[in-house]
Amino acid sequence: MSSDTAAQLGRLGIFADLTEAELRDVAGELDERSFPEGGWVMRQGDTGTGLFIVVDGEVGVVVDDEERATLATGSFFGEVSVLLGEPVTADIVVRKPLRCLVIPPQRAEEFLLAYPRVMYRMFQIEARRLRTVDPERD
Amino acid sequence: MDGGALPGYLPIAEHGIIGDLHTVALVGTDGSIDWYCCPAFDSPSVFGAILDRARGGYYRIAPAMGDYTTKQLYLPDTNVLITRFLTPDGVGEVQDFMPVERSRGRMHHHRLIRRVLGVRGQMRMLMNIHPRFNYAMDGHSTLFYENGVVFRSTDMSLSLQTSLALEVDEPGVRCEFTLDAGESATFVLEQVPETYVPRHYSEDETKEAFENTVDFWRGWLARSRYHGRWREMVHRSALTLKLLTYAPTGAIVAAPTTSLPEGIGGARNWDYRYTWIRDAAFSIYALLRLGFTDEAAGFMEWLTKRFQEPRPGTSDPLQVLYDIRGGFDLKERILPHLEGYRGSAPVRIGNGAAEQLQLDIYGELIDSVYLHDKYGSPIHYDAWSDLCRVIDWIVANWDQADEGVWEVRGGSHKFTYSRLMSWVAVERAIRMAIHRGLPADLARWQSTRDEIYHQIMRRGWHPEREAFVQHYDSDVLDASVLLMPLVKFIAPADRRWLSTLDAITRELVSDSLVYRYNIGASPDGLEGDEGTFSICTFWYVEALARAGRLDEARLVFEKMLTYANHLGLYSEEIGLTGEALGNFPQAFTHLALISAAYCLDQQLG
Repeated sequence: MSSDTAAQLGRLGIFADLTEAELRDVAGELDERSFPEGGWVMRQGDTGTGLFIVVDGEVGVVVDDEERATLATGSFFGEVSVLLGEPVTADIVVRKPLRCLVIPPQRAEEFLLAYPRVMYRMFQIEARRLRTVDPERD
Repeated sequence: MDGGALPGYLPIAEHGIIGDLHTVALVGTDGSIDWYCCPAFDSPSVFGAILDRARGGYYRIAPAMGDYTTKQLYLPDTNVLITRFLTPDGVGEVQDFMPVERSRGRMHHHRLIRRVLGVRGQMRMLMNIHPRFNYAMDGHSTLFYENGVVFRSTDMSLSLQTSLALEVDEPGVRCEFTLDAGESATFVLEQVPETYVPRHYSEDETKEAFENTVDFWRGWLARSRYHGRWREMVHRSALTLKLLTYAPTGAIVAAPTTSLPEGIGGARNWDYRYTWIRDAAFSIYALLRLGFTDEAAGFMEWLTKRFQEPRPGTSDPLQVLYDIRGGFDLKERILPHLEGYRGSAPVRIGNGAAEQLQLDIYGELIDSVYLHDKYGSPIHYDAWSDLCRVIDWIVANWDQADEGVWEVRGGSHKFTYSRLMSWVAVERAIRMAIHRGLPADLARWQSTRDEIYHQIMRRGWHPEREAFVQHYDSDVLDASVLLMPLVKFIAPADRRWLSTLDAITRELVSDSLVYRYNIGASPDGLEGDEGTFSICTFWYVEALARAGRLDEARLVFEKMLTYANHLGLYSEEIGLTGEALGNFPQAFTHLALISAAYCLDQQLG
């Protein structure tokens, strides 16, 4: 991956605390994948899909034919399935051509422990998601 | 018009303002926020495109492409601004507002909310936000999260939160979206800690913030007791003055901008984001006249602290201007990397006039204390004791040369206006002492008062010109003497006054608008031309009204109303073709409008 990619990763909230060298390492360690508009990234019930970090583009989160959310640059998905080892609970459909980084399920623990600041940021974002679902939750 | 590119400079008057009683944003009729300092009026700018279209930074929401026309208005009786975009295919509008947070102690968010609504048909919209922190001197990183971005700079982080997907548009972000009639999109910009994660703002939450902001402004304005003519304009002036108030201290800034030029391409560019003692008396008078006693009391408290505190390194009791917290350090410097509005360089921050001697400020200060003592609440003993110290200083120092009301930079003179206001200072103190039975060296004060009076009549009066003149060694006229009858120095129908008024009408009034003085006849140490001074025109209205020339006064006033912008806002000056010049909007002008409207309405009966 190029230094341009590392610079692009530096814009993502979850990588905000990494040094330039760490960003280059991350860019080298993780696979980048692209998906065309209208396609599926994962379907409800899939297993072993991995944790996806949106570098560019936009996806819809669809549960039971209802689009519950739109995720764009800086978002991530697939983390619940990876952390719990359970099947995916939503369809992810590409709304705008998607570029993303993928952390395979078997490498997720090693990756997060190697970059605790990334893990901390993911916790923050998860906390924000919980707050959005239930504003009274603390 | 290409929605993506930022077009040229808008006329100064093509802006409205929104604010949260800590700071304001200027919103152009093209949907662009061109000026925004955060978190306070005198903080460095984040959006400063009004001072440099290319480098200053902006935050624009407008139709993505095609020709469109725009309209701008305030939601009635509020400072919620609506910018409308009209095309054959659809109508959309942006509601801009800043919620007024009243919680003390908690972190203030300084939320700037832009709510975009589809009104008719369909409209493709484009949002571009390009922050340039610290007057475009600091870089920033942009961090993307799922509910928006965080712009992280050295000394500040701002978050733009929206449910729409944002794209990189260095050095900011952009977002293109389509709205059908009845649909809406919201963008919330707020100051955040650097580790902040943007959150989701629900439609209900945005609506609640909108309704609370509307309620705040309407509730505030409902306290006005003004029911005279030109009520809409008077109330818009009041709402503008409130927007220019810094809530934590009660101080009112002269204007929320810096370096908007007094002449396009000229160097008369000053930072007005401070509080002038001079504005005090006019502010207190206007606020009390309209019934806003809390605001008058707040500003009075700020003023009282100024004359109660010693100034380091000088015996002068007061500085000409202070920062909004009462600070002394207003060191002036130039920002050479900004080209200035339409190339009007230099761009200045800070204000060197703070170091000038301007004797008139004591008159304005003590007149405001007098007014508040009379119409607000009686002066306390400690404040009176400090005021006596100020009067003693005036008694000893009033006959110095100074830089005068217009802050000239061409040397000191014995200005008539400075002496007039020194007379006001001593005269009002005597009135208070007698009315309240307060201890004072009345014999000495009365002797000084009369000495000043006689000197003005002897040396400020020019027998050949049959007019009061700018300073003692000159035959130049100056609009500041229009205040003579307003401060009760001279009877409004006194022969000397009427001939002065005629002379001013002949030499300084141009199609009803008033120049402060003739720059050619009285060099002021600055290069370039300037427009007519709106405040002088309103003083002229009052002087005419008090002299019984009511038809003239009314026509001048009505003409002056036509120079307000589409929202009823005024800058400091008006150019030859009616364009707004100077910092915008200017408190002093709006204060004078209120005073002139009140006076004229009373005189008309």
